[in-house]
Amino acid sequence: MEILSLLLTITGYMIIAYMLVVGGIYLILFFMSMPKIRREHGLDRDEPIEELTESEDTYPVSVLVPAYNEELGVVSTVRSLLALKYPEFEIIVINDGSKDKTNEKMLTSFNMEKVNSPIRQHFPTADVNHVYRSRTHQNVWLLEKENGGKADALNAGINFSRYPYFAAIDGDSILERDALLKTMKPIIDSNGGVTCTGGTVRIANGSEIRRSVVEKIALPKQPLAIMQIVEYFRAFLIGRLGLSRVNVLLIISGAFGVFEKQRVIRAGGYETKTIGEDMELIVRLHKMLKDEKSTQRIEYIQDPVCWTEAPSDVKSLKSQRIRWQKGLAQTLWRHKKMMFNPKYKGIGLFSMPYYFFVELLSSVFEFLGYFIIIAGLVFGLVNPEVTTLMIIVTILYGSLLSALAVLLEEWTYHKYRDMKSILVLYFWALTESFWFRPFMVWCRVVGLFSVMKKKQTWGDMKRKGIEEEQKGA
Amino acid sequence: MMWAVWLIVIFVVLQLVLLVYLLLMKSRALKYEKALQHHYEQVLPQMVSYASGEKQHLPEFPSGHHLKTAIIEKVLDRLATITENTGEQARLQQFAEQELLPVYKKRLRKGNWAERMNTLYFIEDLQLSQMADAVDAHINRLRPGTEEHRQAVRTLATLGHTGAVDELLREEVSGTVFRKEILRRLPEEELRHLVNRLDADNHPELYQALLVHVGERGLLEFLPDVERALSHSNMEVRLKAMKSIGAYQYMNQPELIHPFFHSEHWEERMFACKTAAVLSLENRREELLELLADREWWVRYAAAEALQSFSDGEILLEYARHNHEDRFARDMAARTLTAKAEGER
Repeated sequence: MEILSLLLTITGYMIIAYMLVVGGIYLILFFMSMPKIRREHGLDRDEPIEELTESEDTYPVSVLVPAYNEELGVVSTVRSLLALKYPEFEIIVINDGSKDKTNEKMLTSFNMEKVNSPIRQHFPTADVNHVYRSRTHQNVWLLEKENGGKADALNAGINFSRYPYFAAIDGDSILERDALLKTMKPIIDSNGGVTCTGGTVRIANGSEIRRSVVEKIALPKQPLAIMQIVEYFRAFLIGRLGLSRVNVLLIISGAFGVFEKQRVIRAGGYETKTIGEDMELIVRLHKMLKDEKSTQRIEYIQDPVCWTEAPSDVKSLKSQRIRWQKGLAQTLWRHKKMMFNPKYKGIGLFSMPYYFFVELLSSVFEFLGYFIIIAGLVFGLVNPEVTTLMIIVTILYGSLLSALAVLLEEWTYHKYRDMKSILVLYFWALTESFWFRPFMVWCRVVGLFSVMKKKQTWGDMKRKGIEEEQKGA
Repeated sequence: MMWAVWLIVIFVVLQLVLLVYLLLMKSRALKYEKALQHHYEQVLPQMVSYASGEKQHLPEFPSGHHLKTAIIEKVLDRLATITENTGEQARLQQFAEQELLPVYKKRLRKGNWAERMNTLYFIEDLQLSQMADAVDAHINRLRPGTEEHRQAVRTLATLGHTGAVDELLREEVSGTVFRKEILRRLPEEELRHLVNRLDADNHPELYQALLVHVGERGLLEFLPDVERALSHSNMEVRLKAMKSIGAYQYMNQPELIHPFFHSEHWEERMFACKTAAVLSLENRREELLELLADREWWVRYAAAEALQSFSDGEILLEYARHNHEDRFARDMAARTLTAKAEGER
């Protein structure tokens, strides 16, 4: 018994050390993000993009919307895209063999007709059976193809697109009207020096959405969705902003990102054999840029540009997180040669190890941590000091960082219009370590074990359609 | 175990401080926004009357310095978009200069980054020409290439200050889009000033951007400069000159285009075709029919497009489709005719 106790105590100290290091990294990322956010606090966000609205130097963009069983969200997504403030763009919805009424909804809502349009073959994809074009909106296209997965649908969209840049957006997302302008700005300003950009994705649950526009931002009632809002603040405003400031960001969210088409074509397009095709592509682009000794960059802007529906039930959330974890594991495994490889500089020496030890394996360490806490509290197997320290570190690790993320949100966009929202966000941020985080840890551990399953799917999130949120979630 | 208690206390205090700070900040921000909106709604109609001359007295503004400036900015920003009468604009301009100049001069010197940027945007939007020297002086304090420097140059260009031309000629100023942004803002006399100072060999990219720009703006005064550029030793310059002529849709000496139909560079042959289309050089049918058989696809394509734009274009293409001696020319003619029929995207 004593040996077991000693073993658990040693493991406990190791986990405490690990948690402190991880917490330290997050704090460093926070302090990297903070100066930029503080600097831009109060800046007029519309002025910098005003000129791009009419400039002929604003590159045209093809917006790709891969859709699989998106009958609830696809029409509002396309409508939100049609309202985009951008000089020239086309919208290509790729129906990846949906079994619901995605096709019918598109055909009737946008008055579409079948056309004969040639498709270039930059990459092989599942067969595209029909091409439709809207009679009322000449820049709206629908590709009806055989099921091949999200990456395959995106590749088909790239094949069909005709502009030099493309934006990939999820079928259930809604873009801010100036989203394309804001995300294209770094590309235009750098004269092509930036090859890919992404912005902050926000959760739309609870907000009032009318005619595909987010009109009033409010919090949802379900704690599960509120926690995801806090989680997104932390991930985007601390994690991604911090990493992008040193050009080592490995993820541009699949919900919305803009890419230089030629670069993606040369990289071989989206990888169809992985679940996390968005991250995998970014890692491959980083690798390509470093191999070519290119000075091009991948940039993240902190402006909230895209709204998405977060899972509001446990089953959907669990399934989503398992998928994310699998995607992360697959990408890291596929590019394992970059890990600790000085040739890839910050990506090889920091980003890859960070995503491996912090984002992927933290669930295992935390799982062990919870086990030790329980063993200490219930069975008295562990030194009480270790148990206490473990609890404090766990709370500090989650809650303080989440609260800091709420602070960053207030410094940047303070989108919530009342004091109550801040209190609610703050309260739930404090409770994160007690219920949401253990649940996430469990999902991610399950995700790690399910990596072995080869089958790629679109995920099976139960959607309500975010337009419904106008009634208040 | 005392250390654990201390750790918990520190943690709780930290969180509490953060929460109180957040609430105070939010409460202040909400109050401020409410006051701003309230005063804005009150002041706006009064300012409309003042601008139209209906009222001689300015409305009363709240005493808070920061709030007052914000209201004035918001009101003027709104009125700038809806006022078309020159007299009204002049009155508003005078009011803006009187109220905002001292504040803006101070902000440019002592404000934080976001304040300085917003100030530069407002100076540009409200065209506060009396701020030009202050902005010019501010530029000297900035590192070239930074966001603030770029915005300061944009503002200076809008105000028509020579300093913008000086900045444009600096080596560190780079980026085609940025150069074009500045060129678009410069008044004609400053563009002339730039042309006179510009050495095409030292600033090739700026020179090329300028050539295209004057064409896009249709400034006929510069057309002789553009036509002269057609004989420049650098092919890129010649191409940009042709692009500019395409934008002018006019030239004094169309014969200057003729040699380009036989250029050794395919890009020049292609641009010659495009120019022929824009200028409707229908007497160049023969060259275009010849270029329909060019070894470069893009030249053949441009030649076919040019032929198609002519009044008898379809007859010419139909003829080429059946009778051209070159197989590629026949294909291109057929493709162009079919694409038109199908409304190719």
